[in-house]
Amino acid sequence: MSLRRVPIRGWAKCVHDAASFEGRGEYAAALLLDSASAVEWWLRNDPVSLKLPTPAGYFEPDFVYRATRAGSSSMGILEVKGENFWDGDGSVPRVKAAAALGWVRAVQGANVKPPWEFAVVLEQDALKATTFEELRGFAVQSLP
Amino acid sequence: MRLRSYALDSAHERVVAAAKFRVPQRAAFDATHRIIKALDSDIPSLPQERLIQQLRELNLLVPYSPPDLVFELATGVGKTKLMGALIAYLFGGNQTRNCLILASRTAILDKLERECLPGSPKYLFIDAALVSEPSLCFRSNLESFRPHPNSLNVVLLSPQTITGGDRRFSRPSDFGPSLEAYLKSVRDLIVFTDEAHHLPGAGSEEASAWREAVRGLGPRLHFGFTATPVSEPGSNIIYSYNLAQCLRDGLYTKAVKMWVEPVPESVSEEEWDRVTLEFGLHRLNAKRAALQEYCASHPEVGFVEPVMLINARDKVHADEIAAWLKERRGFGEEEIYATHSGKTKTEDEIKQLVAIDGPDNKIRVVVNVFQLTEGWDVTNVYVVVPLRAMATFQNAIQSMGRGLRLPAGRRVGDPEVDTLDVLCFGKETFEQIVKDATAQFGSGPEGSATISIEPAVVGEVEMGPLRPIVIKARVSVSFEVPSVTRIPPEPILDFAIATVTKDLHGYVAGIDLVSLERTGSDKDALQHDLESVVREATQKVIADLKYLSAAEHAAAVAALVRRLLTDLGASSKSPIAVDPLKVAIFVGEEIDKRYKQQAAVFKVEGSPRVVRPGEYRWPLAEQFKGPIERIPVDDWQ
Repeated sequence: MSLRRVPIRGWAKCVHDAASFEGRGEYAAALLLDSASAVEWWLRNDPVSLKLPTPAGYFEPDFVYRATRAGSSSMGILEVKGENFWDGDGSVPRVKAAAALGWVRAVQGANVKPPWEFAVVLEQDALKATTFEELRGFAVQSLP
Repeated sequence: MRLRSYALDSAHERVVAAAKFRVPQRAAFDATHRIIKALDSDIPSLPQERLIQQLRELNLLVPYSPPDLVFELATGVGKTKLMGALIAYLFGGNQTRNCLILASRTAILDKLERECLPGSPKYLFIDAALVSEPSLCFRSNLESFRPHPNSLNVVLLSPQTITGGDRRFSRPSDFGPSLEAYLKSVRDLIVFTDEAHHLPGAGSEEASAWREAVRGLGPRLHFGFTATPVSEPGSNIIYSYNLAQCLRDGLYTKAVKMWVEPVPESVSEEEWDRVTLEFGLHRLNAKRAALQEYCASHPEVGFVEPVMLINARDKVHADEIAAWLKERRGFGEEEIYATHSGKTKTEDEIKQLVAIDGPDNKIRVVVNVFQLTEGWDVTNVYVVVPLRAMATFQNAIQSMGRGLRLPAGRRVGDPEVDTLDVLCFGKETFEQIVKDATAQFGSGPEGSATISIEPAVVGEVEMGPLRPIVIKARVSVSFEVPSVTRIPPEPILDFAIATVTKDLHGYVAGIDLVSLERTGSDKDALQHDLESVVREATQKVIADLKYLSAAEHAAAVAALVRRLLTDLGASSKSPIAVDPLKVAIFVGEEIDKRYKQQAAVFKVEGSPRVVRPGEYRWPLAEQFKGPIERIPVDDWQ
């Protein structure tokens, strides 16, 4: 039986009692977020709390989280993409991700506190990574 | 004769100058002008036998009187405007002072009555300078109407009224003879039938009664306007711009995307309805987000709630669908409009539905049990979902007519906002549907430019029945989302357009790239000099792309258009038969493509928005009691 969009509970750092996922890659990323020492809390962005305007419609990232590393806090955006959906230049996911990157870059440039970080990772990398920091290292697009 | 010709040319010019015709309207209008001009006398002084003889000499079929001239214009192109313009022209050119307009639906009659009134923002007769004070006869003043000998008399009725459905039509009024007697007495009556296909010919008693009633009035000509002509002996389609051509040109209606997913054998009808609706809702949400975003960046465009139109099997089925949407998907009572079956209520329903594209509309889903037909010409239907036996390619094509109109009257450059999604989740496979579409719309780039067909990829039926549960916040957190504005980049207008003109052939169907002449109907081709094409195309490009302004960009866009045309062989020495609108759309797309590829620039300004995630309702498959416990990632499927 498919667990797609079936709420799953038992999280240590999830903002909600339960969170639902569209695919195994998202679920794997949630497990990594939940076990990461740097992560204070994470929010499954479904229903949508954060969306960013792009030329190809809104970018609605899969996760929003707050992390603290070496005493500094930051807000983070994490998007997990199936390889099939990460098409060539000019494709909707690419246009959206590029715009989201521009959004985060602008926020970083404006010295907003806490600063924001951003990463798009592929599903296969979410399944392969053993820690959240390793997953961020695999990002196909990111701003630290 | 010369004076007559001058009067007609002058009326033609005045209407053209005021009407701002779209190309197909102009072509249809010009075709009529050619016919009228070819007659050797004005209609009022031309005996009917001679009129018929002269029309036959123009190769028109006229087996009986009145001669029947039909315009086929796809939904959304503007049949009503053409009708009004023709009346203004025939009146201005001394061909008639008495017109009878027949429309078979109350909603259409209501709309036409409003538009007949001078001062209406969509004045039917184009401009008060053309028809200043028409004498109008509506259903409401049928008995007190007094025709004016010197102005234009317009009688606006339903076919039922003239076939005996309303005694007032044939009863002498307080002021003189009956309306029927008056219409029979004039020598210049011309009849116009809106949505003429509602009145099919052979085999229909209702229609033959209507035709008999029209003939009994002795009109000189009959003009029919339709989106779907019925082939009849004696009907002359004098101009045709059908749906396939309209979609291919992509100028006047939404684009159409058909989503296809064949129903698996083992799935019940109820389960498949839910899968289909789920996908429809998913598309509706995508439309809503795109419209909101578009309206946010274009404050001059007011947001109107997009609507999903569902075709259900019968009233019980429609009620089931409405109940499911309310109970399982959280729709409010005011967000769903379920039509109630029964033909007697149809007109009332249409009246209510006509208001659906207003800014205060709260309806998001219309569930209906009959094909909503003409008269419901709202602009905010974005998703069309035929269910069960209606989920066939042919039905999907027929039902999409209600969703083709564009809110802004033109495409805006956002694919989601410009496209109508039609679901075809029935028994036909993707391959069958592509085959049917190819048969109907043609193959290759021409066919695919009309409608695009995509597999819907809904996967298997996996959710089953759903019920909403509440997911609570475990911890209280909040975060600030900076207020960030996207700054539009400066458009690139100096690219080498000649290198992309090889694509023009597939796109600008109907233009011979060697001769720059329109293929197809040469008679309808309009000749322009190079500079007027450049001017018209430039204006349209600037009007279509909101980030361009005449003051800043006109010179660069004009240079781009001129370069394109001269690279294709045009010169200022001879006129060319190229369609400026098509050139504009091509150049506009090339500009827009480059514009969208530019990096988005953002600026942080204003106060941040504080987000505090709280509890929310979530649809849970009924086989689960509540959220499940965490499992190893490999077990997730």
